[in-house]
Amino acid sequence: MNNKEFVTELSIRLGYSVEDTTQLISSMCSIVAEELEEGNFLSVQNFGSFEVKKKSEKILINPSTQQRMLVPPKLAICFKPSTQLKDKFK
Amino acid sequence: MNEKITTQRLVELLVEKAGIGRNNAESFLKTMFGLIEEALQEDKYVKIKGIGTFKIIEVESRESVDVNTNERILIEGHPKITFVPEPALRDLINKPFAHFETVILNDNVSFNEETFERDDEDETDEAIDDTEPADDTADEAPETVAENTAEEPPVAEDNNATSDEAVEEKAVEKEVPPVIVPEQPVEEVKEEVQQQQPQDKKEEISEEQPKEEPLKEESHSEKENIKVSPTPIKVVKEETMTPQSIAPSEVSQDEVQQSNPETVNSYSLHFAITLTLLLLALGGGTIIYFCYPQLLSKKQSQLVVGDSILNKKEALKTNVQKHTLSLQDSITLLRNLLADAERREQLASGSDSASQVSTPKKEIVEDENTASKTKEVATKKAEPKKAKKPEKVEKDKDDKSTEKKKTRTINGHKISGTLQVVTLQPGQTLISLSRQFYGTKDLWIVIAEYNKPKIKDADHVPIGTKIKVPKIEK
Repeated sequence: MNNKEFVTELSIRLGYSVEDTTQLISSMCSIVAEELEEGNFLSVQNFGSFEVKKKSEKILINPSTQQRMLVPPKLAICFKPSTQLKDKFK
Repeated sequence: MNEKITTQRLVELLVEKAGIGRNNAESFLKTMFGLIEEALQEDKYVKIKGIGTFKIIEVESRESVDVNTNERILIEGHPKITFVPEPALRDLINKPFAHFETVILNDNVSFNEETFERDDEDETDEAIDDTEPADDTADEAPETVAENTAEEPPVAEDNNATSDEAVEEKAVEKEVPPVIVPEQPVEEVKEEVQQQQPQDKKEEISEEQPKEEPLKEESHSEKENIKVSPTPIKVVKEETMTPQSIAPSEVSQDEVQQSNPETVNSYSLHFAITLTLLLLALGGGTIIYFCYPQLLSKKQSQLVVGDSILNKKEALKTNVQKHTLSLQDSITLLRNLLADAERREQLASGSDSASQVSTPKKEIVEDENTASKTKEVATKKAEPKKAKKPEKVEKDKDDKSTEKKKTRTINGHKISGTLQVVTLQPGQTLISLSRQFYGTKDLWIVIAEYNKPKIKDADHVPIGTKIKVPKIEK
């Protein structure tokens, strides 16, 4: 399901117009981004949690060229699905 | 930071942000995440603009070992929910580390090896400490470092000062006759340093110079290159000593200060102040030199040495004209001269050139140096110090007199002079040199020790380094 389908479906379920829904989603996304940027732990009930984790630097070897590369550390968003969500897909 | 945002808090934030009712926000969130869940079950794929993509990935079954029982177990395949953030969001989160880039490591960079070989080096250091020559290498290494640091700043400042001078001159030109400073702008600022020193010293120098110069000039010209290595620092000092048009330069400074309010020279003034501070520090060092008690008694001879060095500098300049280098490129110039000096030194040490000495006072210093030159690599860089501190040379001489004519031993290998000087080419290493000259790679450590003053890190010898391959006696 792509973004357009998602927005349409959501607007139908909520009874809002597509524009309103789009706006709500975008403000929702900006909230998520802000909170994550501050390093906060974001959990949504029955869905899962978002967290920023620091991945330390590492040395990779390109298997085809055998070149060794030092990959710098980075901050990455990790999503951990809740157990309820996991159970639904089993 | 590290605050836990629950669904309730998320609702509150959404109410603030979107300006909708609390109930609406709550239901919106619920439906939204519910829809994501449903869409995942239907399509196994949901893309939401602004956040990213949720996906269901089937994980294949695999074998593993139970941690507790050590039994082999089969983990069955299962769907896995993954989330890939949008590039925009990903970059936003990674902002603090965004300036890092992936670096391609060279083949020779190896962290494990490095630590290992450093340990190895330490061991060899200790081993050599037990044998004799290590003490002077150890003693002189810091000195050479000190020299390098001492000689480089002024040269750099030379360039800076020229620009500075240009500004000053502009200001001065109006009233005061232009200051005649022949390519030694540092002195202007150094005058202040000089004022701290007794005036008579300056006069002494100024009186002596004309006398000594004509006598020595020619006789020295041949020998000069041998002792070039000491010149850089001495030259700088010589510059401070040389009698300058003190009055005019001071006037110029005053003038600049006067003209400051008028013209917007505050920047250059700041620059000049920092420059003077730097030079003051440098001058302090020189003063310590001169106040060194035993040195004062031998001041005359030092001055003579200093003069001869000044002469050398002149002769060297003519030399360098052959090299088609402009005189302003003093840094590169001095480097070339250093290289020349090394080559000649090797020749000299090879053929016992103590006889080449020509002038009486210099002879003394030089003799001592050449005498101790059996270990020329180690002692070479220390020459400037020795020339300035004759008494120290004597001490050294005493120390070394016992082992003067002996060959040096490194790691149990007797070294008798330099076999060949090799300029390190790309791809060449100390090990390959060792293999080339001795047929075994194990002797690289001897080369490394022999060239210790030049090689800071035996694991990373820069290309173009002139490596002296020692002659090993069997």
